[in-house]
Amino acid sequence: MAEAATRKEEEQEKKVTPFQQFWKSFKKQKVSFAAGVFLLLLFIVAAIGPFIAPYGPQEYDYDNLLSGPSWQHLAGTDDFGRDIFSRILHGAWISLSVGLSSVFIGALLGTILGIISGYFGKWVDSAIMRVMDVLLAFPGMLLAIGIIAILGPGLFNVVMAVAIFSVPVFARIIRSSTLAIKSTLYVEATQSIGSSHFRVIMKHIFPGTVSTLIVYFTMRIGSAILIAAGLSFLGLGADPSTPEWGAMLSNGRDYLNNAPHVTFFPGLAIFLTVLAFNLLGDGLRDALDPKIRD
Amino acid sequence: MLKYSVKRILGMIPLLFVISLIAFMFVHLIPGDPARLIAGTDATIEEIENIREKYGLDQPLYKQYMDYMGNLFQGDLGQSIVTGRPVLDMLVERFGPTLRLTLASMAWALLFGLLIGVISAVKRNKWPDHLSMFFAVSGVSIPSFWLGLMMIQLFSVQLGWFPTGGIGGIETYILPSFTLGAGVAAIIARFTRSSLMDVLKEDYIRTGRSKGLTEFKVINRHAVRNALIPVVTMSGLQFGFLLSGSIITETIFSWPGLGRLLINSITARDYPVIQSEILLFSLEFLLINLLVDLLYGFLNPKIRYEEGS
Amino acid sequence: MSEPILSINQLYTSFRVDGETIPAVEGIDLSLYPGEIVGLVGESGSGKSVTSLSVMQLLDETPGEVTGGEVLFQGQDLLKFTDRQKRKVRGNDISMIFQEPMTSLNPVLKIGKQLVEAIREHQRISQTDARKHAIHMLNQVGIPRSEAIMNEYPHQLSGGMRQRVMIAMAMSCDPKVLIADEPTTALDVTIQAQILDVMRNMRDQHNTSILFITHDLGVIAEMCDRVAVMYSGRIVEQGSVYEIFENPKHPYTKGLLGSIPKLGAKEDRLDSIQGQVPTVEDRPKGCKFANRCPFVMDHCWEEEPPLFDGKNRCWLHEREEATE
Repeated sequence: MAEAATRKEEEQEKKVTPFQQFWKSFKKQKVSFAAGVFLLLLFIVAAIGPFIAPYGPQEYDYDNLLSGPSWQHLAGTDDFGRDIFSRILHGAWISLSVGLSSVFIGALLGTILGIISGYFGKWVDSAIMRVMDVLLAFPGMLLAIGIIAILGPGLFNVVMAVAIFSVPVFARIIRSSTLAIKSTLYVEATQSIGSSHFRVIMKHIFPGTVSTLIVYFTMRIGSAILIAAGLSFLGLGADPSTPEWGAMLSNGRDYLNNAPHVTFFPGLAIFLTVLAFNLLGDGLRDALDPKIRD
Repeated sequence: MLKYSVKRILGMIPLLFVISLIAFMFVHLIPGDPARLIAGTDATIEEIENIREKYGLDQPLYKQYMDYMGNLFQGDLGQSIVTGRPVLDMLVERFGPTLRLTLASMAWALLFGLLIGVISAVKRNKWPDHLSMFFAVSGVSIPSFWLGLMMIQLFSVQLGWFPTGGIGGIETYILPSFTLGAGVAAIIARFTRSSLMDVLKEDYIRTGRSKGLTEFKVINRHAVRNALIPVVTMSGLQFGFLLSGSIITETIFSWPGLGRLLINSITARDYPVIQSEILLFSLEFLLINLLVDLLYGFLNPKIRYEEGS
Repeated sequence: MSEPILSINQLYTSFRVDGETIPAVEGIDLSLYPGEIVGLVGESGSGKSVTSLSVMQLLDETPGEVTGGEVLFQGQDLLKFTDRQKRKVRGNDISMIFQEPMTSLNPVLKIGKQLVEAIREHQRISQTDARKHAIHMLNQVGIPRSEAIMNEYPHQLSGGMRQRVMIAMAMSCDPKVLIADEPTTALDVTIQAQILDVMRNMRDQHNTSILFITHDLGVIAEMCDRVAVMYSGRIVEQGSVYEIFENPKHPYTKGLLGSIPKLGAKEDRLDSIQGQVPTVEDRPKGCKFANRCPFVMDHCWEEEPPLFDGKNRCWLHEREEATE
């Protein structure tokens, strides 16, 4: 008896939580880990940016128009003499919140539609998926531009546009993991003892899709930021005076010949941020769900 | 193959209907009175009423849609509000430059994408693989507008090798097509790598090796061709990505194509042009998807000989 | 007796998984004489396929490596060959057919092209001659309309036909040794018999030695001259088919034989071996079969038995050897 008890204890000690398991394999991915650390710092910067930035985002310095990087202005100044480094710090919050909120809305709607589609099947499934297929047939950028053409320019509409084109991506992937989970025995068992659909979905289906959701969420943020910045660059997004990275870069176009730093630094900020999200997404995918590959 | 093709082509009909409906509804989806939108902000009430009558906006919706489709089949896409020219003429004139830019970009993307992907898969988990895959992640992360502007700064402004924009001889194509193709090259590279790695696990690869073939012949004759079937399909679909990417690239390089026209019309609220551009872009996507499907069928003997067995 | 054409001496092969080395084959000795069919039998995971891939040196993809021993082909150690020399042997002197005829042929290349490729890799002959030879080979393995099939794709053929094509391809350069890794496992019983016939004919016509790998003792009895039984990466018993079937010595062989239904015998249930093949970590320290053996003795857990009399690895037969 005593022996059996100790054995049971040992077994329990051996058992690792899913998070520990994930953490162990994620730590091995050095590049992704570094990207994660970079993003963590970026979030901190976005939160405290306005307090640590040496200048205000609309602080004009008419003695220093379009001057190159120096100790006074780390990334130089723009055509109004505004400090580019400070504007990038201020803009971090805009880019991150546009990326996060648009993907969040898209993921939320997509997950709901995907679960409904996969869980109920039949005509509900085909109706939802037909609409998703049509949306998915268009590349994100064009769909976003089309939506902007209807809603009109502006940062809020950019968020909506990017959210809408994220919906089918999530709907599709969540539908297939829902189908996989639904076919497992324990869900069938719960259904047969008469649990309500909502309960089955919340208790069994949704938790099973979480790891897939995290991976896709991370990977989509990169492209959302990229498209949002692209729309601002085209003059369809943020107001040109805001320190949004895409808009700043667009401003610099006219001074490309003598002041390339005005375009270089905001672009570098976009590139590094998107790169970090993509690298983190790859690492999370390998650590959480080795089955999904590109 | 014939059965397969007919099935694919018939499958497009409902989508065509949906697209025409979306393009038609576009003007009605914009908040506000369509007649007022078309007439412009400083139009008088009389002008607005004229427009309403001229465009049939006082008719019931289904009637308007029938009229719209009727005009469409006669090649009448309406006139631009800004220039007053027939929209069809404007689209025709802009189509060539965009198509040529897209094709040139696809050529780059395939060249680099396949090369990098194959090297990566063959040298998997060694340094050429890590380096290639780092380039590939960078390629999808880099903002094309930034890449384009930086290349203009370096190659046009500093070195003076290429013009900063505009369309002309072959030298004007290099920078825009490279800018546009970089992202797709990265996508193709990643996809080629994973596809080839999957194929290299197949039994027939082992058969090839057991015949005593060199590794080069095994990869070249047996692996690459099989790996390419999904890659071709995927690359074809990337034409859509290129087409939408061309909107930004054309803006950067002052390229007289459809993408720049779209942005200009959105900024100028030139609704008839936007409406027709949406229709045209959608049709192009549909056509690309169809061609890719047919190509896939052609490359895959299982589908090509479907009728025979 | 003449010299063996192929002899495997003290072969060790292991896999590398996540930085750990997992032994798959541990010290195998096996010889193959000209024109002989030797069966290598064992459950899955016993190391029989790994043995064959080690001989062909096709372990890269698994990824495994030979860590010791030698594989002598006509007296020369294949393991010491350069890549170029190895390729000259593969498909030419030693060729191989696999379990899955459905996936072992390239789906996008015509049958003819795949045959001609194998022929021209090793023989300096023209395309037309190679095609003629390919058609001749297809005829030899009993494929009707061989000329038409040259222009067909693998998916147009049945599994049995594809395995015939594989045999034709493997035999096209007139190899000295053919390794057949479960060639009939994926096929119907009637097709199985036909394929075995084809292989026997090939042996008779070309005097090829065949190393026949299978888990099916019925096939062994039908095909082979000699048998080697593998368990946990070792050969636990070997001998002529007659010896093994009439008088099995090792408890594992007895168990295997007990698990084939005997025609006419009145048995209520099939004898089968208790338990499962142990994983590498769980292998007993002494005799690897100890945990499933009905005759297990204390000594078996302590020390691994050697190959007594060159025939079987079981402590039960230690005394026999001593008395002889």
